[in-house]
Amino acid sequence: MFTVFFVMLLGVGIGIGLRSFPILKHTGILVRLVIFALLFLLGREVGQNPKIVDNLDTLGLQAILITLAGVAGSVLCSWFVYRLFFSKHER
Amino acid sequence: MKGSLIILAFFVVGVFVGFKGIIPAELLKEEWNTYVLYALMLLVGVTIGYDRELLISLRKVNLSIVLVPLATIVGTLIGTFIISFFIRDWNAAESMAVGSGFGYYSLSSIFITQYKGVTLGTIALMSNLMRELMALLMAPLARKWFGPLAPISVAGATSMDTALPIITQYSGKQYVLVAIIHGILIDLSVPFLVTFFCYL
Repeated sequence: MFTVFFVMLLGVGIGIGLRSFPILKHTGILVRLVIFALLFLLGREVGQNPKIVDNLDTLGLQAILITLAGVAGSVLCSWFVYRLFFSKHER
Repeated sequence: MKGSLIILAFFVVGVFVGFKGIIPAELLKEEWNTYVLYALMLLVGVTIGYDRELLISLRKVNLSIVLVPLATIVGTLIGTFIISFFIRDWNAAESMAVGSGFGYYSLSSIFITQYKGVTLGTIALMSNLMRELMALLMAPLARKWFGPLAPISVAGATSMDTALPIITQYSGKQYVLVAIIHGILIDLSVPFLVTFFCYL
């Protein structure tokens, strides 16, 4: 787990250190390309795996449940934070 | 939204290619994925470190602004924790790992595929795409029922880009800074939280 964090922090360090190199401005494009490639590979793995293709409806339902639960929880918490810390300043 | 469609297109083409067996499995072995993931994290780090304005805007943060992303994180984790008891196939940590994507579907699904396998990775992709979609569709209702912070919270990591226009419209201009800081902090939390819950 810590390898991932370390690698990311290393990247932050490199980014700060190399600010004088304008070419690094385009790193975001590179990130996007890598993400495209990885999602293509993820899709390919899904397509090759009959267990997933046959169960896409079940997986979709599970995804909906998790999403709704997460959204409901965060909406309630943000309402709580708003009532406690934000609404006072507005009046 | 255009970005999501492009990403979805890559995924769908991948599914088709895999289904038809167009590229033999021996090509593009899975062991490569770990190194590609590390490379991706390094690049993500570089974009963060290189962005001077991002680090400066983080310095403007005061305590009450930080409470908003905190509410999003705590609320999402509580919600996904509770729902996990109703989903037989996945345990609490796995459900929370999916929730920890906060709409950042590309990165979170890649991570979860790497740590937990393709099945949960696919759920993560779908779930986090749905979250982005909900951020756009539910903003008016969320604002009406749960106050101006709710559309920001629903949007998760997308509150600083895809969902920002709609948040501005429904929560008001005074919440734009909150939405941007929220997006940045949630964005940064995704790799950490997802990895954490995958290892739990």
